[in-house]
Amino acid sequence: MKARSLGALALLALIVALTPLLVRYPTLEAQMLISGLLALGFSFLLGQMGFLSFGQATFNGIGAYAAALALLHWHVPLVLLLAIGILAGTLSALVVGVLSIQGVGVYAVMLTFALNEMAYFSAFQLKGITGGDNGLRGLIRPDLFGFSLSSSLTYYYLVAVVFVLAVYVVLRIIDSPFGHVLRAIRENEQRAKAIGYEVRHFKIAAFALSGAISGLAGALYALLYQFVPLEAIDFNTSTNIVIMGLLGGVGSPFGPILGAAIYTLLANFLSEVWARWPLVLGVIFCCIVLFLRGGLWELGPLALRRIRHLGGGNVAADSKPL
Amino acid sequence: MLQTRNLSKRFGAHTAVQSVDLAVHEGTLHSIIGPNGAGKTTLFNLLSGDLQPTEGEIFFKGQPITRLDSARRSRLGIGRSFQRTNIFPQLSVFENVRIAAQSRSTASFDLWHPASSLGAVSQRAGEVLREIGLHERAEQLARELAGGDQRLLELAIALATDPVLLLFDEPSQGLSPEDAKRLMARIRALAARYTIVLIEHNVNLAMELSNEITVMHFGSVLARGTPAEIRSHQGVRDAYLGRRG
Amino acid sequence: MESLIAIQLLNGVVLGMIYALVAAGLTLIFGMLDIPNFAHGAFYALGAYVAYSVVAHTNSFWAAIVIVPLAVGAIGLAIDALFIRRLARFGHVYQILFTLGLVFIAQETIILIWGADPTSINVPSALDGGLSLGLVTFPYYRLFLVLAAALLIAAVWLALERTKYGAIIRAGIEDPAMVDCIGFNVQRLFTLVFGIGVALAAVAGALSLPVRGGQPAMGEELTAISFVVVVIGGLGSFAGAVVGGLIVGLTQAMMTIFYPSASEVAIFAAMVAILLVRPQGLFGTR
Repeated sequence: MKARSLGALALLALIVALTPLLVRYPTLEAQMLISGLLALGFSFLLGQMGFLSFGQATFNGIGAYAAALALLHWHVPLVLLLAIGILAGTLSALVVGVLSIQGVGVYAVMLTFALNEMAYFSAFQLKGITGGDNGLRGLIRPDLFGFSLSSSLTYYYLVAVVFVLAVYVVLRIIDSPFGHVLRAIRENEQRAKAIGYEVRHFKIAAFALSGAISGLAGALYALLYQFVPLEAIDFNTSTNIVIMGLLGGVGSPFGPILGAAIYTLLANFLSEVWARWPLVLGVIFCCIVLFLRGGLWELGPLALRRIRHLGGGNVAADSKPL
Repeated sequence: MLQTRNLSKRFGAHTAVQSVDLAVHEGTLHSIIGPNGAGKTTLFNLLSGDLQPTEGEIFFKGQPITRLDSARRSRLGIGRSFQRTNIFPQLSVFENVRIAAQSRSTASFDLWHPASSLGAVSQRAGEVLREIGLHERAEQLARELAGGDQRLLELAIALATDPVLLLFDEPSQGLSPEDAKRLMARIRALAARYTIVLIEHNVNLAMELSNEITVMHFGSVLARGTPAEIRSHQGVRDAYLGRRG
Repeated sequence: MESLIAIQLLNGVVLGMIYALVAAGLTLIFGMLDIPNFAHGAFYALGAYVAYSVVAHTNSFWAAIVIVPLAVGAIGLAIDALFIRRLARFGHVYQILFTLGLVFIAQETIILIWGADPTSINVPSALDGGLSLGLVTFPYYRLFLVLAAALLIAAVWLALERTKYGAIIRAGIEDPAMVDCIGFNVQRLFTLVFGIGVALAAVAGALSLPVRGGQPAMGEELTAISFVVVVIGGLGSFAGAVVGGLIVGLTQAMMTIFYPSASEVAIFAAMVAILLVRPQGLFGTR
């Protein structure tokens, strides 16, 4: 892995470790990290492979339900719950991936959307399993190897460790031979095929990875609130994940993490100041789509370039089209 | 090396390629020429696997490859270029070639180790870039290259997959005369080591480069032979060369 | 039971024609112009709310039916000319994302102006009462709604198929450069088509207000359904929009009798099946 990515990861780990000590909102902060994982799972598909998925909540919801049900019915230990979330997310993403990549362009996007709606309405109907509209209640966060996680601060640190590990894994994947193939597919699918890559297999594998991250986020979420609401699998949640990803920028794995953090903060604080805060969000989002397609994360390098080219260079805000 | 038997492609009522028997021998540079609409590009797409024939078969080194897609044909050792420049625009020149070389390694599903640790792959990419003459531009983004250099890069991508047979679809199309000349010089140099099939619009260029020529007309083979034989072929003159003066 | 089925059949047709009208607009925008407009339902909602205000001020439902498509259509024109056009060269992804942002803006603006409570208006007095069909009575207003929707769809279809401008627009979609050459500003025509598509969604919102009422999030459902309808019917096909709309409307209405809980799953499953098996839809050609 490149030294710069490692440095950024170390800095991220430091910020994640210190934040709840400086500003004590551990539940909100855990929510930020979990949303960060969801946005990361989404951006992995869009940023690395060029696939716009409008169905990320499917994997999140199924991961959350699977972990919650395992806990409710079999009192599975915590580490296994996370593994179950990952597994359920991966499997659901495999199904969605195999079906969605049959579609070309917008049709593929609509398949992720339609499958998400199917999953949502199924969860809504299967009240006996998911609790339907009322959500799945009565979860009690288990101990970790006898160590109690009942305080939200200790649970935050569990989420933090899992989060940093997941980001590390994603960074490695992006830098791996596999990650390079995904970017070749993003750039020119036909050419990637013509040099011998089975593009379908790579796309399905990328979906599985995205689903694994999202399923993990779902399990962490279920244990954070000790409750799985129907929103976990709602199409609107998918929409919000898309917004988080684009807000921060999908080009770098740190972009969606930033986007998720900003989104979560806005959703919690701006909403208290002004109930119509999504209006602000919508305007910001439209502006980003129009003028800053690399997301807020691009602002850093953009500012650097402007300083370097001070006086002369023409700094284009245009980032690459996907 | 490459053979077709009774190869035909129909689009509805229109027959673009009609019962073509082609034999490309190892070590030759075999050009396919013909006036516009003769079915050259359709034939190319059948050979590359972009189109499926309506009838007939294709053999590569004696094995049938008729039903294989372009990825499988690439893995068997058939490299190709595209009529329109077809590269990975937002990746570096080096990465364009490196990713092509990586397709020959078994490590493409490795999720854990850095791609840069595939030493043989990077080395191969470097060699190809030097051979093609783009090594000084290795760190540039591919889309920033000039048109002629992009065509060279496309060649480099094909070479990096270690092919034994190269298919080129009108590689000089849209290039300036100097760039076309430079590209053709590269192709001539490659002909010493690879078997090449060249679809070419420019007859004189094809005559100059090739050992063997197939002339297509209205989807069928009109004539085949050495450049000298083609030059003196009456039917070809009538159909094609004559009209061009 | 028979009367219940009869009622639901009629409701299904009414619902289906509302869907068809909205989807006809989407088939113009998505099917012909190739812009995946995720804000399509938002224009439907906006149409309903503008109708509410016009009725409140003028006391005339008929004024609303005229003003709504013009006013909301003009908003659509402006949005296309100012923003969406510029995004075309970046591909579908950014058009989808931009229209997604519009959904938030539209929904919150509606709450700011009209409040979050559900609204409704009365059926215009001229259309009070209903047609007795033996088992059931079909309210005149619903009959009017079905006819009006059919008429509007037919009018737009005829304008595209039978007029000079329609021919130019269709030619422009095939080959924009060519039509540019013969001296028509294709871009401006496309923006006009976008505006007409938006106007159809808006007038559908206005027409449905006395029947279905309005609430700020009403557009979300319609966006989803209109995409389902154009996918089932086939992109760019008006007949497809009508047949697709009726299929979805009748399915929903009938399922409420027999198996209410599965209707949404069934509709989206149909969409997935069509996308996988016949992506050009029932009436699509490409």
